Amino acid sequence: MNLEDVMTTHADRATAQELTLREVRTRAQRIQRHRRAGVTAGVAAAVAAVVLPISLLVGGNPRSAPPPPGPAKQTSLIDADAVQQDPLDMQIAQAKPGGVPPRPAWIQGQTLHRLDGSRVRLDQTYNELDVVNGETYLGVRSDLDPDSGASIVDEIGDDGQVASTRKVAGLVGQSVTMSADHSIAAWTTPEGDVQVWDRDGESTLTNTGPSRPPGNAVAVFGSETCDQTGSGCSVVVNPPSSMSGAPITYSTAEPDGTPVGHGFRYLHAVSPDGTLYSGIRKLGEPGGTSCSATWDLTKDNQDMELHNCTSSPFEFSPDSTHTAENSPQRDGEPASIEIRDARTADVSVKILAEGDSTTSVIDPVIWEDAENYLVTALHRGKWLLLRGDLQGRLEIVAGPIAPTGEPFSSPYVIAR
Amino acid sequence: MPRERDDDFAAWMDARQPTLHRTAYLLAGDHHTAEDLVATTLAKVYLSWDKIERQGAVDAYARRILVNENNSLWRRAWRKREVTSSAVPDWIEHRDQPDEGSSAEVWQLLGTLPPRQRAVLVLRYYEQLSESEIAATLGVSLGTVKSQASRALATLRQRVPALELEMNR
Repeated sequence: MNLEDVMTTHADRATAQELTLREVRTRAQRIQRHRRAGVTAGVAAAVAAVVLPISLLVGGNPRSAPPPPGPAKQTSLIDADAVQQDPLDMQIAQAKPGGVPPRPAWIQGQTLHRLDGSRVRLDQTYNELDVVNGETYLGVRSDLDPDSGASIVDEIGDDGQVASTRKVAGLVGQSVTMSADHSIAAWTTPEGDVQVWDRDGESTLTNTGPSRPPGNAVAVFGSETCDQTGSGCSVVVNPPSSMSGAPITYSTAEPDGTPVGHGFRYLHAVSPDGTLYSGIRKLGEPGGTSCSATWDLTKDNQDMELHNCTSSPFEFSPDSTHTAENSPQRDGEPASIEIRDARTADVSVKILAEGDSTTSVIDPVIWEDAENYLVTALHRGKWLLLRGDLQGRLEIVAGPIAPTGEPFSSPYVIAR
Repeated sequence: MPRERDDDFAAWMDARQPTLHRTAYLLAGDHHTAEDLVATTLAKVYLSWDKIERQGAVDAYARRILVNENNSLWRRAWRKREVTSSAVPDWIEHRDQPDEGSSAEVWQLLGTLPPRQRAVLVLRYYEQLSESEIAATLGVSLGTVKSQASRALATLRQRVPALELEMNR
């Protein structure tokens, strides 16, 4: 006997009188009334933190009456099954405070929260933060040089002051990329250098020359050291623009570089295990696309396109199974971010702010581990630091705080 | 909702309603609950139609609502069982029990599985979804799908060894 046959046999009996559009509309109106009632109750009864989820839970079933609120049970996480009206969405409005501090180092305003839990006042304001080998703190100040567009990478000393500084090519996207184990950082300079920082400090992996400047470093592979005495390291670097050139891999063994090939024009991200590449390919080439796509470059799958034109993955999870992606934000729509299955592009969860394209921001996603990630969001005019997971839970780690400084620039900076 | 949207939704609903009902029946185990699940699912899809149609994920969205609603029904039923009351229940669950020999036995055993395990089997062996798709539908990890399926099949095999149940995938 086959289980499929058993199910099919019984399912075929499941004939029912089909619903009309009018009947569906009536049911939809009833659900909307329940939702509004639930929201109103939640706002009015500030002390009954559990009322809103329960009210919403009742939304769709006419047989159920709202159960009375239970004992006030403190929880910092949303039960996604209970409150999600749209199963794809995690509403920031529903997230509750109480999340533990971020696992990575992070900055709020000009306060650096180190990995050991200590805090130090910073001399500068940073847009990016990277910690090499758990001990060297690198902060990026973006868009400082109006001529070259170069940003600045500072080594931050124990006292929060700038210990050393250098330029990094000012480009769209992240300036510094980290190896999967956070032991090697890499970036490019306006002069065409591909720089790395490993256990031995800063060094130049290669120089492409000022006439052939690279774009941003998109991935670095290796561990502990780029030195030839070890296993070396390799850095995948984009062309300066998505309209010219192609990504190149520079390595300890091949400092002159090897084209990534496969018709790639530009890469958004490479998975930590080095198998999945997300980016754009040249039109006219095999697999050429006019929008972002993700390919599996393992030998077994031989350059298989997994999906295309869904959105633009910008960060893979540490286990390479998921991607974080900005979904297209149209006029009037609130900011959102999606976590997708890296291979199928199926949306696992979607985080939604309130407001529209001019008042809401969600960015970026920093993975704490294969299940949990941190995002910063401008929501209802205030900045929040949030933690989400793959089960659809969302909690507030810090905030809300009012915006200061550059418009739409988050006061929270999380280390990659 | 503008008329053209209603037309689009109605066309989708006409095409998918029988399938949704069959899946709902497999999840819930009885016709009355299945009808209610489908009605709620269609209403929620209707409310979110603009957004999910743009995402091209209408079927997946509907499937997930269906499963979530079924789980919610089960949770509410469970909560009811835990509350002592002198009140007479206002409705009694009706569960179909077709008489067709060994197939009926398997069908009845399916009804005894926890809802999530049952949902995994329905989505895998009836809807023919991949494990990743099931994970996305249920909102759980791939590992959870594998473990739930493994437990469910082990339970079925243990309870009906004489039926030599075949699960090829």
